[in-house]
Amino acid sequence: FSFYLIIDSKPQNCSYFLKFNRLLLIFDDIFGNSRFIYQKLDLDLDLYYCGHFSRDFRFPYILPASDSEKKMRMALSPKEKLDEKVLQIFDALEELYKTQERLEQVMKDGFFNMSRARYSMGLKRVSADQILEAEMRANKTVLICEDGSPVSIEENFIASLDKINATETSPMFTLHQATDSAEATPVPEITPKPKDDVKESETGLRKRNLGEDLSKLSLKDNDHDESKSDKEKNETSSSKSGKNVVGDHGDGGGKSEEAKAKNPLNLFGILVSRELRTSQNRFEEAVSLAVQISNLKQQLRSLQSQYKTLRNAATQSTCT
Amino acid sequence: MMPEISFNIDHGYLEGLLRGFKSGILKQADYLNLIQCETLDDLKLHLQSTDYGNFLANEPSPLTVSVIDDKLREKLVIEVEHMRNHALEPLSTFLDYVKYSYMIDNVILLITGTLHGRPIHELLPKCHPLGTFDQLAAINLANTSIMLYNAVLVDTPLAPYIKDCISAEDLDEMNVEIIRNTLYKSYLEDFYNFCKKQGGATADVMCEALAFDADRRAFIITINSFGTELSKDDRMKLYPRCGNLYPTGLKMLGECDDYEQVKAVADYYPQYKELFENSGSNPGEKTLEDKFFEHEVKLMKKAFMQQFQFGVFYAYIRLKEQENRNILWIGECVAQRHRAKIDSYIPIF
Repeated sequence: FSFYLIIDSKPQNCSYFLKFNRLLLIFDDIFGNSRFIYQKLDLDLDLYYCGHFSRDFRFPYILPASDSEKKMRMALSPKEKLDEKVLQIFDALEELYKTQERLEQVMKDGFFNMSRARYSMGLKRVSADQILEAEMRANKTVLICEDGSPVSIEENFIASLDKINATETSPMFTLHQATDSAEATPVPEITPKPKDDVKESETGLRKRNLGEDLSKLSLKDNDHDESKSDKEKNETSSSKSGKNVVGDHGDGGGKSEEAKAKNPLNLFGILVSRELRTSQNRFEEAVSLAVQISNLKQQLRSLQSQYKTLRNAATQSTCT
Repeated sequence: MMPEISFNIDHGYLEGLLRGFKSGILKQADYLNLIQCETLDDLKLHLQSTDYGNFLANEPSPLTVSVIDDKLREKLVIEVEHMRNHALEPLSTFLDYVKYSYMIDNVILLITGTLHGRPIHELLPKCHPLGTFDQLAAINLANTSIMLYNAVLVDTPLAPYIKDCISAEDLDEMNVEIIRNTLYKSYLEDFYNFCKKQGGATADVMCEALAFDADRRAFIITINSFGTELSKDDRMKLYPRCGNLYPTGLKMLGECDDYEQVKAVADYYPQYKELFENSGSNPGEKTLEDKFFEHEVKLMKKAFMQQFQFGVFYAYIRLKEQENRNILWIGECVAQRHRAKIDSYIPIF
């Protein structure tokens, strides 16, 4: 970003000068003169110039931001840039660990609630036998944005400086509902979870097999039995597609066939116990957490590569 | 007149046998051992010292919870079949009535499985052995409930129960659920009338038990139907009428829209009021279903206090089912290494 100084007194040597360059820092030097640092907007060079204001210069209007000043200070020394990058990496890492922990918790809860539902509904009513074998289709899909831009990476001043140096584009993942979720069968107690979905799109979607990713991410359960891992895959990545298994449509009160067939919970019956619904909510949350983790890992990777380039640049500049 | 005198002629052996079985039901001490298991093999080891013996001995490792379920059920089935084979009237009819509920479960299991595209030969082994009948395998021919009646159920004991819910609509999840509950409702009312006709101590014990079952089903159907597409009229048709809630309670339940209203209905009935009292879904609280199970266990234990009646047979089967649920719950907690609520089982004796 750039600062624009709007000066309403006589234009001194600085005003137009500043417009075509990037103002970084304004400070007072030891003699009490106001000085400023600016960067020439010549993109290949990281050169900083120092100018000064004449004495009766006035600044009626400035757009400051105190932490951007700090960032500008950081921008001055490549070593400090490196430090900043390391701090970002650690931040991303911490976020990643927190999300992974949350995923673990949520998966455990999901399975636990499923067992509780099995307890009250009977073991044979909540098992792999209830799922659709032939025509499963994923309820949620993941859209990959290839250009590495804005969706999740927080654009800050340093990142924009380094964008030119980024050697790879990092694809970002967003979660999309496979079809319009507006008339989905309502499930009570759904916890409002920030999801980037509700987008109807058939074209341009790359369907990932979410089931497999999730079974890799299930961290603790080594003693899974067969039916449980089947259930996991199918709870989370299944929905009933057109009900062509048994002839045609039964209708449930005027809803469209597509919308009614959406909720995979109905595979276990209409009147299911509350724990099963809770379990479904948990697994849905797990899906979006998995996507977040992928995004965080991508972010981490790009930060790490940025760090590497910065380090190379720093060692080069100390050598030369 | 004086049924106590003549009861033992026909049924004394079986009642004696049954009381022997009853003493093999796991005690609290056994459960305390079980909850300390770390793996399912530990569980198997502990079960060997109980009445179950080596029932898991020939199972290949690794053990899974569904295998344990099958074996537990097998033991119960052997006992019940033995009793049924030796039973005379009216005990034989009584035991048949008990088996009808398993038949209903099997029918629904097969219909749902077929609806979802699973081949029939995969589903048949999953049926409950107590509920098999010859025409069961023909279920996959049924696309509508009329066909279900004509092709499959017409010669079975379940035929009179499906009369209330025949329609030409294709079977889908909603219809299957309605069929399940309507079948069960007719069955329950029929069973209730049979027991009432028996009179005496049997009627005493059984009518109380079945009334509780009917009321429990009414409550659970209502609560689980919130947020689904089941209309209130349809819901009213699913409530069994042989309980304490009939007629006013059922009418009030039919109009409920959320949990609080259901609780308000329950407040009119003291025995249900206290079940709803401390239940909830917060951690540390028992859920409503748990409290219902607990109450059932209490009623079933009471059934053993009276002699010379058939209620003990029903009670034994119910208690064994609860024991199976307990063992499977502990097994699942052990298998998932989630020991937080491992003691949510319901101790029986």
